[in-house]
Parts: sequence; structure tokens; C-alpha cells
Amino acid sequence: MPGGEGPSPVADRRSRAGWISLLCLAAALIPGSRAPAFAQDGEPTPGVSPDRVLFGQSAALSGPAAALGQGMRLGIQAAFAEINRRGGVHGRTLELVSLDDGYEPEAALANTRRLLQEENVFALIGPVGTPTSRAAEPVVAQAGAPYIGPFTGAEFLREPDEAPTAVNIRASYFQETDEMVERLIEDLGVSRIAVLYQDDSYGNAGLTGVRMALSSRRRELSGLAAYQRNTTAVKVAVLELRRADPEAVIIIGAYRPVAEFVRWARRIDFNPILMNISFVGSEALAADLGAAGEGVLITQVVPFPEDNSLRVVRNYRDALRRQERGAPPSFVSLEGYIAGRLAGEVLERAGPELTRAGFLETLTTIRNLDFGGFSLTYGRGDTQGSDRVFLTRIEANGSLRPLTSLR
Amino acid sequence: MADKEPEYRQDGTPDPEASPATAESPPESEEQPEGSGGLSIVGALREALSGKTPLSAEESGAEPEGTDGGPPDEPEAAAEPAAAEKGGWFRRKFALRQSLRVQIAAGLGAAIVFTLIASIIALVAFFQVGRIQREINTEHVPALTNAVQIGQLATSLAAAAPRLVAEARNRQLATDPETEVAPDDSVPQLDLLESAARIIELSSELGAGERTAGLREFSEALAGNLRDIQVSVESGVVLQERLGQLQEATVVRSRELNELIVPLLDDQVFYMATGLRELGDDPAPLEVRGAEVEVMYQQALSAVDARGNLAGSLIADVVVQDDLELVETLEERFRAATAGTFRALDTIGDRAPRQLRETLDAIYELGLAQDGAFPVRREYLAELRNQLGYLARNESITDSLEVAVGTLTVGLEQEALAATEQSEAALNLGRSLLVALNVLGISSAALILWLFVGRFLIARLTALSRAMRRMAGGDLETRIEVRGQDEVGEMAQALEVFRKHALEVQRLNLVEELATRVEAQNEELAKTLEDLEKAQDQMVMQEKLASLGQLTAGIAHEIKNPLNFVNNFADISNELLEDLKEELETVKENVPEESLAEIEDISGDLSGNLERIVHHGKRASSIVYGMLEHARKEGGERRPTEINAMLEEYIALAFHSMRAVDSRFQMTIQKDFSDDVGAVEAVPQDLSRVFLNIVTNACQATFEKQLAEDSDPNYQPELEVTSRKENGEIEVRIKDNGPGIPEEHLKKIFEPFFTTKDTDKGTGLGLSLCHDIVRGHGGTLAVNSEVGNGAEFVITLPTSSSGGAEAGS
Repeated sequence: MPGGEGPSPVADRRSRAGWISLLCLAAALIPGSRAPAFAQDGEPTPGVSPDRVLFGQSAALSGPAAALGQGMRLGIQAAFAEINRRGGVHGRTLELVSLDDGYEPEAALANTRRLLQEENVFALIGPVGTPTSRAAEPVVAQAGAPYIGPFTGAEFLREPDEAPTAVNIRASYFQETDEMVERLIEDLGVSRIAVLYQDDSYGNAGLTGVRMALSSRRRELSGLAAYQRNTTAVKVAVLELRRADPEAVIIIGAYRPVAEFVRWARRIDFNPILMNISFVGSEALAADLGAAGEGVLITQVVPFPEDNSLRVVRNYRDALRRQERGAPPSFVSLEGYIAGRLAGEVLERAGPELTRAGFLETLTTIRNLDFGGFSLTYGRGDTQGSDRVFLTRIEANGSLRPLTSLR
Repeated sequence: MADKEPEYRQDGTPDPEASPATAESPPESEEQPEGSGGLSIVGALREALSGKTPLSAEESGAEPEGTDGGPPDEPEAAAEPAAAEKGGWFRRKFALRQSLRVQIAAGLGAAIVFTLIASIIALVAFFQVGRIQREINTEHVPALTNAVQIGQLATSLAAAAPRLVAEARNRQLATDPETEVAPDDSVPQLDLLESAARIIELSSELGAGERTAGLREFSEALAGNLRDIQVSVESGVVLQERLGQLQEATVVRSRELNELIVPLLDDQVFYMATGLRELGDDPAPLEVRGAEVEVMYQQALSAVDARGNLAGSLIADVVVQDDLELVETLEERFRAATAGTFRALDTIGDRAPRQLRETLDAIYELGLAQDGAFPVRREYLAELRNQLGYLARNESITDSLEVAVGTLTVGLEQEALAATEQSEAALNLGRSLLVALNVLGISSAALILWLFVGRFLIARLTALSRAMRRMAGGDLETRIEVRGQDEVGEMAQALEVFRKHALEVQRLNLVEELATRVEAQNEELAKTLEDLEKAQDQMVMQEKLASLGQLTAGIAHEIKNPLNFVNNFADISNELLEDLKEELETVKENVPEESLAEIEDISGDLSGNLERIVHHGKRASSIVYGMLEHARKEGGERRPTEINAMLEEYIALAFHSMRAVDSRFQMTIQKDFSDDVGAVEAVPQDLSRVFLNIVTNACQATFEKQLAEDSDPNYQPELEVTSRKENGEIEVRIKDNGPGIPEEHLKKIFEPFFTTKDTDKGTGLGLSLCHDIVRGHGGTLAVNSEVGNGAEFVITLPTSSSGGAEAGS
């Protein structure tokens, strides 16, 4: 179906990209090799000059997923500003250039190309979305540029064979859905679980995760419904799911269609437990739903952004305040901030002789990088820093509250 | 020589005007240039030798052949003029001058001529080859180069067209904008046209003709074809771009459609199921929400959705559809689908948002507008078909072109080959001619070298030098036989003259030498005669002496006995007297003093007289003894006798004897004995006697001088005795500083009975005896003395035992 992800060209590219990625990975994993394996003909590392390092971002800055792209951008900028205030990394300031892809894969691809070839960025940071990552990642991998902190839990980004230059921060969708199922079954004793998913690779990823989680607990889905990406046409899905009569519905979707679903489900007295995946855009969802959102659950992959007991949250809120006074703390921008901090930390450890391969190599040495309440661990073959899934619930006043259990 | 000259002239018949060469013409010589002697160095030499005029020099030059120091070679002299006459006529006829210079010049000249000829031929050959090479270079090579270039260009042209087309194809097939098209593929189109133009240019350079006409024609056709292809490809590119745009637009529109329809459908289905449109609505009753109009609305929405998506996908399909027929099918289906959407749209009516209509219209346009997907695709496919046609045409033209190029190339190759062969032939000819000439030149040079230089020149020179060396070695007899009319011949003639002169001179010298030798021998003979006479005198004297000696020996022998008696009785008497004296002593007191004095006087006188008797008796004995000694033949054994020891002993003996006689005698004795004197085979008694004798003489002489009235008070007798060994002889010198011996005595000093002493002081046999003894030992005894300067006796003795001259007895 046109309008979803572009099929064949991407698929073709993917196989070729995969082969190249394998090569790139093999070269990148040569121990101690500091020479840029992918430097263009021995030229100096792109984006790196004696006084700055340039990062690029292609994300949804407009459209239904705008909050995600904007949130990531804000968080990264806050982190970079904080680092630059301390003198940068090895005398270099960190800079970010952002392009809008509207959560469309073609645009993401074009942007990524532009960032790499024209803007000559050192690395990509803070991209948003699974289909967009699917499109952009091969190009990035071919250039050997790090793909830092993609705002997606897609599995392929965590496979070094498939995404050799990905630097993931958040737990994967599989981990999130597994936690969801675990909590539902263990904490609430739920036995009938259905899924509402966005009809694209993002939704499919989540669906697969739920299926895996259920089958590992020897259960099955009770119901299944989908909606088209970039629309709010969820009403038929509401009807379909009501007919399945589940106790809980795990939703893999974007905040606006999810909000519609929630409202219409309630309108027709269909009130299962609703559990969302982090990608939904927690604050936007809460804002959109308002009072009607009470009880809606959302899993998170970063700590509660208002938990000042955590140093990372304190640092983040400081940096946020300085970056954009009045900007409310959000999970998304916290995730962006963490991404920015991670980038800075790896740059620091990589040393003044900075290359892309060196960056990735240094990443594999990071163990327990603790930002204060949130730590990241990487290693050979492990490009995902955190495995933690947190729980939050929308309260009646539209605010979010962290949970430790569903009970 | 002067005698023989006219003799020879009579024998031969040389024309005085003829050159000397006539007399000497060697039959073997090949070259007969004549030369006169007057100019040559040799002639001058001859002049100097014989001191004659040039004319006579020539004549004398004719001589050496005939003269030999012996009888002239008459037969040869007779034969030569005959041959000379023939040669002479020849030479006279051509008036050739025979000289080395000319000969060498002729020889070299011939060699040079050969070389010149060889060079000329080589030059000619090179010119020929050069001409052909030039032809090749200016005609054939450029032509071939042209043909090759044409071939290359033709090939590239032929290859270009399909490449062009293929590239365009690739571009079309790739919907992925990231496929990179090699930038240079669009450029060659221009180059190819240039290539075609170049082919035409090159073929016109090759000249008009059938072959080139074909080339031009094909090249032009090819160029035209390429232009067509180019145009077609370009338009294909444009169309392809358009299709790309359409596809992208379709994607957008399809998404648009979906995003419009899906919510509408979603809402409608929900409404029909729940009766709710808005959250705040009351649910519509079933008969309202299930009314036909709702159903139809929902159905129309579905139709729009389905048909619209179908239309979009059909466009996507046709954009990559290669089959023209299928394009038709797709277009048909597209028409149906879009018709469906519009029908559905009508059904939806004004419930439809305007956007929907716009989108559907747009989709329709994307497909069927004039520049829509279907016409464009069709057009594009038509272009492709055209290109195929062009390609096919390209191939056939190329084939023809290739054939034409091939023919052309072959023809040119053949021409070039022919020219090359020509040049090869010329080269070969030149080469063989050169080789032949080289061989000829070298062999003739070798011939010249061997015949002229070797045999004629060098051989004669060698002979001449050999002759000279012979002459220098002393052989003046052998005649010099070197022939020739040139300088060498003249040299030979001169040498012959020289030889003859030298021979004469040699003979004269010989005679002189003989005369001198004879003279010398005469002198020697005279001297020998003198010596002989002297010897004869000596012999006579010796005979006399011998007989005298024998006589004296007889006398001495006879006297010996009576003498003995005398001596004995004298001694006895002396003893008796002594007894008497003793008796007297005993009775001395009893005897009166006068008688005692008288008795003593008388006894004294008696004593004295007896003493004198004894003395003289002893003297007489010694004379007898001496005479007997003198007559005694050489006897006594020879023994190795140390000379120096003997000298020491007998010098001392002589000295002490003298002192015994008169104690006033003092003598300074200087002895200088050489250590290497050693021993000599001698009769010690005899030899010692010699030493003793001479030393005693010296003592006596010096003592006399000392005692003489007018002697120098400071005078001290001195004796110097030296012994040396020299040249195998022992030399003893006994020198004294006595009065010396006058000259007239020196001669006779060794004669028997010669003495200067008083009669009671010597017999005069001493030195004679010494002389004989020494001579008997094979040595010599000589004396050197001057009055007032002492005397020196020199005794020489051979170290080896020799009989020496028999001592004369």
C-alpha cells in the first residue's frame, strides 16, 4: 500500500546495505584501529574540526509526531549547551543541525543524505521513528557514522549485523511489551490481552513483541486491530476490539490516534486497561486526553523527568531551564538530553584524535556510565545502553505519575 | 776497382745514355719505373765513397754486379744486358720514372680508387633506399595510420551506440534516484559525432576513390544514425524524468487520498455501527444510521478508497511497464478505476470534502493527461523501439564500415608491403655490392701489400738489411744481390760499392797488420837471441864455475886433512902451553924474576902464535868448508818450514854472533812478519843459512859504517826484516841502513868468490851460495841498494814445492 513505508527499493537497499554493514562492522571491530575505516579517502573526519564537532538530526519536527522530534532536539541541545559551557570536549564545542522529515521515510532518507554529504556531520543523533530509521540507517552505516539515540525501540537497530553504527539508549520495544505483559499478568492477573497497533513497521514491531511476550507465557492474543499511520481513523478499530472483549489493550500507536481511541472507546463504554508504549508521546497524550486520560498506562524507557531525587533529572532540568526557559520537562526531552550527554561522554573518552570508528570503538568500552539514577552499559555486540522499563500512569489532572507496580 | 771498371764495360753493352737500371734489370720484378741515381741520397753516398762525378757514379753503380773481388760473373753480365735491352725499350717508351715514391703512390692510389668506387656504389644504393623510404614515409605510412585511426574510430562509434542506449535504459529502469549515472555517458554523444566527422576527414585525406567513397558514405550514415540515437535517447531521458515525477506525485496523491478517505470511512463505519459521529452526540437510531443513504455513502467511500488506490498502483505499474500491450491494458483498467472513483464521488456528493475531488482529479490527470503516465510511457516505449531500430541500423552500417575499412587497410598494407619489399631489395643489392666491393678492395689491397710491399719492397729491403748486417759482422766477401730500379736498388748498388771498397780496405789493413806483427816478432826474436846469448854466457860461466868448483872441491877435500892436522896440533900445543903455564905457576917462586918475565914473555908469544895458527887454521877450514858447501849438490830433505820462526831465530843468532865478536855492536831490529806467511817446503839448513848470511852481512856492513872514521855519531845500525805472502809467493825483505852497495858491485854480488871484505872476513861464496839455495827452492834472490842508502835483499819463495830452476852447480 502506498503511503506506508516504501517497499522494494528499501528492501533491495537493505540487502546490499546489510552486506556492506557487515564489512563495515568487521572493519570497525578491528581492535585498536583508530584509523577511520570509513574516512573518505584518507580525508580528515567529517564534522570534526579543531574547535567543534557537528551532529545532525533528521526527525519529525512537524506532523503528528512533531512532539517527539522537537522533544529530542530540545534535550540534545540542552545537553550540548551544558557540555559547551564546561569548555566542550577536548576543546571542541558540540553543535546540532536538525532537519524535519515529518516522520516520513523518504524525507528521512533525503535528510540523512544531506546531513552526511552536504552538512558533513560527524554523526546522526536523535532521529525519530522506526520506518524513518529503516530508511536512514543503511546510509548512515555505509558512511560509518554513528546513529546515536534513535527514538525507537525497533529490534533491527539493536542487531549489530543489521545496524552496525547504531548507538541505542532506550530499552527495545520487545522489552517494553514484555514488561507490559508481565505487569498485566502478574500485577493485575489479566488473561485476555488485545493489541491496537499502527499499521506500519512501528506498530508491527510492537505487535511482534507482545506476541512474543504472550507466547513465552503460553498465552495468545485475544484481539487485534490496526489503524493507518498519520490518520486518526481508529473508530473501526474500537469496534473491532470491543467485539473481542479483552481485559487489557496494549497500544502501539501515536498520541493523537491513541487519544481518539481512548475517547471513543470510553464513549461506547469499552473500558479495558489501556497500556501504551513509550513512543506514544506521553505528555502529548496526557494533554490531549485531559481528564479522560485518567488510568491510561504508559511504559517509559527513561526515568520520570520530575524525579529530582535523581541526579540525572536534576542535571537535565537545569540544562533544560537554561536551554528553554519555561519548557516543561518531558520523557522525550529527557531521552534527548541523555543522548546528548552520552555523545559527549563518548567523545571525551575517544580522545582528541576523533574518528567515527574511534567513537564506535570507544562506545564498546563503556560499562555502567552512571548519569545518576540512570546508567548505560555497552560492549561488543551490545549497542543498547539501558534495559530498564518504567511505568507511568496518567492521572485525572492530566499529569503523569510513575508507578512501580500496577497494583 | 778502377782497373776492373773498364774491363766490365767492355763486356757489357750499356748505352751510356741509358739509365743504370739497364744493367741490372731483374726479370722477376714486375714494376719497372726507372730512377736515376743522381737525385737520390744513395747516389750522393756513392759519390762520397768513390769521389767520382755523377756520371761515373752511375757507371760505378753498374759495377757491383759484375765485381766480386774475384773473377767477374761473365755469363750473368752477358745475360743481363740482353734482358735490359727489352726492359729498357719498354721503359724508354713510356718514360716512366721508377722510384719508391711513385710505386707507393701507385699502390695507395689503387687502394683509394677501390674505396672510392665502393663508397660511390654505397652512396648510390643509399640514395635509392632513401628514395623508397621517403615514399613509404610520406605516402604509405600516413595512409596506413589513417586507416588504422579510421578503424579505431569506427569501432568506437559502433560500440558507442549500444552503450548510449543501454545507459539510457538503465536510467529508466532505476526508479531509485540514488543510482548514480556515470556523468560521462551523456558527453560521448558529442565525441561520437566528432569521431564520425574525423573519419570523413581522414578518408578524404586518403584521396578520392572507390574505397574511400564507401568509407565516407558509411561514416556519414553512422553519424546520422548516432544523431538519431542521441535525439531519441535524450527524449527518452526527458520522458523518463517525467515518469519519475509522475510516480512521486502519484505517491503523494495516493497518500493524500488515503489520509482523506480512511478517516471518512472509519467515521462512517463507526457511525453505522454506533450511531455516533461526534463524541458528544446522541447515538442515532438504527433506521437512521442504517439507512440506504448511509450504506451507499459508506460504499461510495469504499469505492473511492479502493478505486483510488487501484488507480495509484496502476500508475506505479505503468511507469515501469515495458510491454506496450500491457500498457494498454493498464490504461484501460485505470480508466475504469478512475471512472469508478468519480462515480463514487458523485454518490458522495457534497458530503465529500473538496480536497477529495481535487485529489481524485489529480490522480486522473497523473494518469491520463497528455503528459500523464500512460501516454508518456507509451511514448517512451516507442522511443525504445526506435532506438532498437537505430541500433540495428547502427550494426549494419558498422559492418559495412568495418568491411570498407578492412579493404582499405588491406590495400594500403599491400602497397606498403610492396614498397617495403622494394626497399629491402635495394638494401640487399646495396649490401651485396658493398660486400663484394669490400672483398675486392680488401683482396686487392692485400695483393698490393703482398706483391708490392711484401715481395717487392720489404723483401728487398730485408735482403739489403741482411746484407748490411753481414757486412757489419765482418763478411765482406758475399756479393750483394738486391735488384730494382728504385731507391732500394740504388741503395743496394751503393752498398755493393761500399762493400768492395771496404773489402779493399780490409785487405790493406790485414797486410799492414801482418807487417806489424812480423816486425814485432822480429824484435822478439832479436831479444830472445840476446837473452840466449846472455844465457849462453852464463852457461859458459857456470860451466867454468862448475869445473872450478869441482876443482876447488877437489883441492878442498885434499886440504881438509892436512888442515885438520894443523888445527889439532895447534890445539894440543895450546893445551901444552897451558900446562906449562900451570907448571910455571907452581915453580914461580923458585924462578928468578928476570927469567920469570922472560918465560912469561915467551909463553905469551907462544900462546899468541898458537892462537894465530888456530885462527888461521880455522879460517882455512872454514874456507874449505865453505868451498865444499858450495860444491855440494842440493841435498837435504825438504820439510815444511815456518819462515817467520826461522827468521826470528837466525836474526837473533846473527845478532848475538856479532855481539860475541864485538860487544859494542848494537842494532835496532824491526821485524814485521805477516801472519799468513806460514810454512814453505824447504831444506831448513840451507834456508837458514841464507837468512843467517844476509843478516850477518847486514850487521857487518852497518857495524863497519858505524866504526868508520867519518861516521855520524848518531848513526845506529838498523835492520828491517819483513815477510809477506803475495800472489802465492813468500817475500822476505831484509833491509839495512849500511853504506849500501855500489852499482857495479850489484851485478856481481851473487857471483862466487866475489867479496868486498878483507880476505879473512869472508870467502866470497856466501851470497853466491844463498843465491843458489834460493834458486834451488824455486825462488829468487835480488838486491836493491844505493850507495849511502843501505841495501835491501829480497827473497821470494814459492809456497808450493817446486823444483825451480836447478841450482847451477
